[in-house]
Order: sequence, then C-alpha cells, then structure tokens
Amino acid sequence: MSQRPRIEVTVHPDGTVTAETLDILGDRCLDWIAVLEDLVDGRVEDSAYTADHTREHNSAWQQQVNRDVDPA
Amino acid sequence: MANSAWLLTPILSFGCASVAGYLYVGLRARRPGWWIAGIGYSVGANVFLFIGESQPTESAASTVLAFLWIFTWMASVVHAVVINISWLDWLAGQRRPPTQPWTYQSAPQVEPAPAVPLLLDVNAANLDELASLPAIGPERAARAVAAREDRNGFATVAEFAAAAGLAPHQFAAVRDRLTCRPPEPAPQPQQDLPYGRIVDI
Repeated sequence: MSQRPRIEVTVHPDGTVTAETLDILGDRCLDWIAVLEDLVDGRVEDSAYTADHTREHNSAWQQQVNRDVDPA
Repeated sequence: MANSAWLLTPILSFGCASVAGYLYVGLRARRPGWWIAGIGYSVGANVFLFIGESQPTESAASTVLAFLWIFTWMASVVHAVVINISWLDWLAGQRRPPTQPWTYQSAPQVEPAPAVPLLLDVNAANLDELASLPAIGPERAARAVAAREDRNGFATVAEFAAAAGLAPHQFAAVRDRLTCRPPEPAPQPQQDLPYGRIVDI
C-alpha cells in the first residue's frame, strides 16, 4: 500500500543537515534536491539513492508480469 | 550639491567636528587616508581651541594657539575641498552603468570556448562535450563513453548517469541538459555471397 510521501530532515549539532525522502518513488526524488537546497540555503555535498528509487520499477515489472499471465 | 554637503562639517564646526565629514567619505570610498586626516584635524582644532581658552587673554601663548587653531581649521577646509574632487569622481564611477571596463581592453584575448549544445544526446555527445557538464569531468565522461561503446548506446539518461557514476544530486544538476535518442542499430554486414551453385565434376 502506497504511503504519503515524506521528507525527513535532520539538523546535526555540527550544523550539517541530512535529508531523506520517504515513499517518493523513482526519479521523482530528484525534484526535491533543489527544494531542500533552497530550504537550508546550502549545497548538497553527497547523496545516494534509497530502496525507494527502484521500488517503482519493481512494482511496474510486477504489474507487467501479472498482465502477461493468462487469467484462465 | 548634496554629494558635497559633507564639506559643511569642517567649515561650520571650525574644524572641531571635521572628523564626521572625513569619516563619511573615507569609509564609503574606502580611503583610510581621508578619515585619518579628519581625526588629525579634529583633534588638533579641539586641542588648540581648549588649551587657548585656558590661557590668559592677550598672552603670547593664547595668540599662538588661536593662530594654530585657525590654521588647522583652514587646512581641514582646503584639504576637504581637494578630497571632494576625488570623492565626486568615485561617486560618478559607482553610478556609471556597467559597461566594458577600459582595463579589459588591454587584456589578452582569450580564445572562445568551443560551443557546447544546450541539449546533449548521451548517445551522440563526444568526450569533450560530456566532460564540459558540471560534476562530470573528463574521468566520468571517459567512463560513460566506454560504457556506451560496450553496450552499443544507452537506453535512458538514467542509465548514462549510472554508467558515469553520478550521485543523485549530480544527476539532478545536469539531467535537464541531457537527452537520449535511441542508438542507431549496428550496420548489418552485407550478405555478398555468391549466387548460384558450384558443381564439382
């Protein structure tokens, strides 16, 4: 079941900020990078995809498999 | 006229408050020599004025100190008028619309960078074009070109980003400048086999 998209932003004691998009599938998470940079008035130093990035592809692939199965 | 109003401080204060006008122009134009001179004039005028007042009237010391005070006042006014010329020049330079600075005219002519198309096809762009993109550079561009040759082109821009080893934020910065046209199929070797039948007798 799809959950509401969220962004978890953490401000660390040393001033660095980390953020993680949750339930934002595929490349749509990339749209939030510029938003977060504007929000914290900084530049992204490092980033990595989470499992959500490929989750969309997996579900699409799953749908394709189901469609190919003959219901009879 | 308003830009020269600061001249009134040394004139009307008899030199005692010259520092105010000198500080204003010196700090704005970043000319320490101006406001340091203003401090000197103000300190001098105040010292000569107050010490002269404490002297008996019509004494020689009082006359000398009064003369020094007036001299300091006049010097501060004349100096302010001289500074005002440079001050007005500086102000005019600040308000001038940004045009080609004359200092650049003697600068060596730099060869224009090769024009890079606004939208790069990841299946057709050469090494230099890819390397010119932000966060990609020559090393990642070479990696991407090698991967492109290995797999006969990329299917998507994301595939290119993965092959180049771009982090998500680096990909996000360049993805609007990338496109991916399907690679041309490899040319099939012409079947130029001999037509007919060979018969051994």
